[in-house]
Amino acid sequence: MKKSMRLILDANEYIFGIGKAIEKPYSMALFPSIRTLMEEVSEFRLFIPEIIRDEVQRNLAPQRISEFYRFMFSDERIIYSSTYDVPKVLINKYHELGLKSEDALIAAFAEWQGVHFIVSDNRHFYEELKVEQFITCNAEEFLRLLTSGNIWQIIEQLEAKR
Amino acid sequence: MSMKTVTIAIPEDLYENLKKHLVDSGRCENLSDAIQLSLRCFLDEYFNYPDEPPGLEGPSKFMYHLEKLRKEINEMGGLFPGKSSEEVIEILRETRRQIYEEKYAAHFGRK
Repeated sequence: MKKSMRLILDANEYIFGIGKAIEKPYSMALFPSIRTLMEEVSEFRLFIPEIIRDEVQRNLAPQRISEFYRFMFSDERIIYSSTYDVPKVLINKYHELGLKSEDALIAAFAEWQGVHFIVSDNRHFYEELKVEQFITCNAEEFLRLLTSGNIWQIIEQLEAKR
Repeated sequence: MSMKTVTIAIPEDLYENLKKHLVDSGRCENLSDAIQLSLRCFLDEYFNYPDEPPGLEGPSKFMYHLEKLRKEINEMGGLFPGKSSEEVIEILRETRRQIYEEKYAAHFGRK
């Protein structure tokens, strides 16, 4: 079977991962795993919604922003996408599930783009958001699923429901 | 040089910024020139720059720029020094709330 994976990393994963946060070893380990996914998964896509890019950018020193953009544009499987065109009906859906507007926008973006996983170490996000369209988990859980290989079954199940 | 005409939609704040810095200031003749200049600068800055090892592509390029970024941040003392990861997450949540207010609330509404 041709493997595919569509992924979003929340801003905190970029901040912890590029900032070498000692407390967050799994966030740091995400990036080498993404490199492997790029090499081994034919249809791998890492989405960077505009609101997440903005959030990371605002928390970096201005001198680091160019390098962050070079990192962001380093591979064609990293997809930067505007969040202005997300259908409002999807945002309303996630509002009704109890998310704040800014989180609802990301969740709606994920559903709109057929994303399989949102990885976030913000427990307000990954613990509260349980839907059929995609999985939210933290970096540790994502890496555990990846290492065990169970992640591919989960993706198959998500695809089957679409 | 042959030209291609494209119609694009850009966020209002970006339009105002572009107009203020490049057109109203007299740096560019008109908005079309301003957009062309911006695109050329962008491509030179992020795709055609000289300080990258030759032949670097794909996942290797991804890791190269990740390590470069990590090194630069580390040399500056890291991100959010002295803050716990929970405090960092709270700062990021507030940043996201502010971005939403500034850029999206008028477009999508707030609940």
